[in-house]
Amino acid sequence: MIPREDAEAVRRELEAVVAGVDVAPATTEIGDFLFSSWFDSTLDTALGREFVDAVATFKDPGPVGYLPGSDAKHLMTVARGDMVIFGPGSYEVAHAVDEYVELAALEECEAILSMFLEQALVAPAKGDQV
Amino acid sequence: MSGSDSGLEQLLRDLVAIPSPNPPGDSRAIAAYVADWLAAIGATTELLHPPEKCEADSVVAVVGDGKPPVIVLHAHLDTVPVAADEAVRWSSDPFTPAVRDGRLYGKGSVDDKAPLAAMMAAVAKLAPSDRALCGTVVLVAAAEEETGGRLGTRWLVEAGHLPHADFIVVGEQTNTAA
Repeated sequence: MIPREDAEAVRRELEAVVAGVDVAPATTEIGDFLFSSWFDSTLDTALGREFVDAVATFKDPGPVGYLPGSDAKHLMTVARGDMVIFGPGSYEVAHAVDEYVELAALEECEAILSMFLEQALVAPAKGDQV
Repeated sequence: MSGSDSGLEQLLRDLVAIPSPNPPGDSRAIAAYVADWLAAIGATTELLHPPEKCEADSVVAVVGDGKPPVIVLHAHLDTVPVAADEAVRWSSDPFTPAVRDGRLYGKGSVDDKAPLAAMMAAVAKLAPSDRALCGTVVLVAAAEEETGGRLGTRWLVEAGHLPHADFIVVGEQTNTAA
């Protein structure tokens, strides 16, 4: 969910959408599905700033939105700092015919992650104690 | 560094060539490949699966001695399946990686094997044993994301297989913006 959403409101909205679709002679049923609270990640920590700096070395660091679901919801309970969703390519081709990734974007992603890990784990982190 | 001379492109080709559609969610072959690759670069690697689905193998690989800061890099192993009428509409076989015009085509190429390959390559650069790290990186290659993650990442967390993390990167498609 995103800030200001709540699980019951999402379910009511989904029920309204489903009720408005005629699938006869089939029927529809909404089963249980996972909800998770929104996760606020400001990147205003030493590691967060180092990650943004690594991205900014190559491009406008964003932020950008990410609409599909992800495993981030399951990781909230082990996150004691920032969490970002980040990777090459567009989710618009993710489940499509002729799914692809630009090799340049793949290399860029690897370079950003390598720079971040080098700064965070080899050179001492600057600023905040983490 | 280019993909061709780093082996990054080849790594992604290898991952795409190992089908991991979900359903049915049998990730054993690709998990074994990832675990072997990460063990070879010096990571401490585990293959893990929940008791109710032994074919849903995930990989947890650690470089460092566990001290903070702990950085978790997470990507998923499984892909959506190729639908019954889908394969004929592909320009090439979905599980035979093909490069055309600077793009690598294949099922799972971008979701989620590209971020997984990038994370594996980045961890490999960090791994040489003669380098003193001031923290720990944990690479999680998870099963079951495409069906909600209950028997993948959620199980890994609830079973205590993942440490608390000071920073987490979840590999998905954001055009390499944060």
